Amino acid sequence: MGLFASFQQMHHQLKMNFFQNLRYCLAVITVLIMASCEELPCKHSNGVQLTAGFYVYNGVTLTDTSLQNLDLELGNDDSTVYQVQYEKSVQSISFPLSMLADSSLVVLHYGNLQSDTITIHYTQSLHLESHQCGFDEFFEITKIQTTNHQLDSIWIRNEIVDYVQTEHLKIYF
Amino acid sequence: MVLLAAAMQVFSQEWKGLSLGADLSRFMVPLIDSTRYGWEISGDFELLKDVFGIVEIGSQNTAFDHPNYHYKSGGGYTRVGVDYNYMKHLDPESTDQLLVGLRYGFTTFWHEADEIIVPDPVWGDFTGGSIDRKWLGANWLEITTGMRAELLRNLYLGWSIRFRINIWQQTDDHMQPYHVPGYGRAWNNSAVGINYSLYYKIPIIKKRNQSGKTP
Repeated sequence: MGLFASFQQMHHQLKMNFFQNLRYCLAVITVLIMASCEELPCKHSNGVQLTAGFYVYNGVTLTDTSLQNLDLELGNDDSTVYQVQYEKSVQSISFPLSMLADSSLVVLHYGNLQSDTITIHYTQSLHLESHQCGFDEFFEITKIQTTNHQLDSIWIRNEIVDYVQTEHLKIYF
Repeated sequence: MVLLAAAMQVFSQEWKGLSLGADLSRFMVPLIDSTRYGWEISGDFELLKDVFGIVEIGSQNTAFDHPNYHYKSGGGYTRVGVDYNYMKHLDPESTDQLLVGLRYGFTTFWHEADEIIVPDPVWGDFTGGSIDRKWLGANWLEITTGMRAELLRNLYLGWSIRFRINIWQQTDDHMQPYHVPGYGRAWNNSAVGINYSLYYKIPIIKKRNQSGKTP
C-alpha cells in the first residue's frame, strides 16, 4: 500500500509539474506572438525619385527661378512613357529613373520655345526598405548629357538618389 | 531485497553531472511561424555550489515568399553563460531548479534574396533581381530566468524566458536580415525568447542523499 501511495504521489507530482510548466509556457508564448505581430507602415511607398531645381546665373549672382508652361516628358529613344504638364510655375521637379536601363531620357518642353533633352546615366543597386515593404532601386548618377537650347548647364549636386529627400541636380538657364 | 535496497539507495541519491538538453519548442515553432525552423541543444555542469556553467548551440533557418521577393537565411549560434539555482534557498531537499542566469550569444549566418520585383507604374516593373549570399555576424547578451522540474530521476523538463540585448550586429547595405539565429528579429535592439527543454543529467559525482547528508 505504501509503495502504491508513493507511486501515486510521484505520478501526481509529475503531472502537476508538467501541466503547471506548460500553462505558464503557453501564456508567455501567446504574449510573445501578439507582440511580434506589430507591423509598421511603409515610409517610401512612392519609391525613389530624382529632384532637380532650376536656377539662373547672370554671371554675378545665382538665383533660383521658376519655369512657366513646363511640360515634362520621360521616355527612352523610341517612346514616351510618362508626360506631365505643370499648370503652375515650378522651381523644381521630381521624377523616377528607369530601372530597366542604365540611363533615362528627360525632355523639358517650354511652351513655344525649343525643348531641351537631358540624358541621365547611372548605376543601380537594390535596397530593401523593410521585409514588409519590399525592395527599391537606388541610383548613383555617373554622367549627364544635355542639349543647350534654353538650358545652360547642369551640376550634379548629389549623385546618390535614394530615400534622402534632397536636390540632386541644379539646372542652370 | 538487498538488490532492491541498493537500487533504492542509488535512486534516492542526488548526483552532480553533465545535463544535456534539447529545446522542444524548436519543433513547435514551425507550427506557429512557418518561415522558421531549427534546433537547439545544451549542456551544463555545476561548477560551484548551485552555479552551473552552460553552453547552448543551435541552428536556425528562415525561408519565406514575399509577393515581391523570395528570402532565405541560415546559420548557427552559440550561447555561453552561467545559471544560478535559487531553489536550494527555498527548499534544500528539492531536486527541482529555479534558475536565473546570464548568457553571451554570438552567431554567424548568411542571407540571400532572389526573384525580386520592384513595382514601377511609370517605367515598368523591374523583375528578376537578386541579392547574392552574404555572411553576417552578431552578438548579444541575455538575462534568463526559468525552472526545471525533475520528472524522473535525472530527467528534467523546464522552461526559460530570455531577455536579449543586442551588442553588435553586422549590417548589409542592400538588405537587412530578417531573423538573427539565436537572437530574434534583426531590427530590434532587444528581444524576448523562450525555451522549453527536456534535460537528462548524466550522473557523474554523488552529491548527497535525500536526508541531506553527504555520503
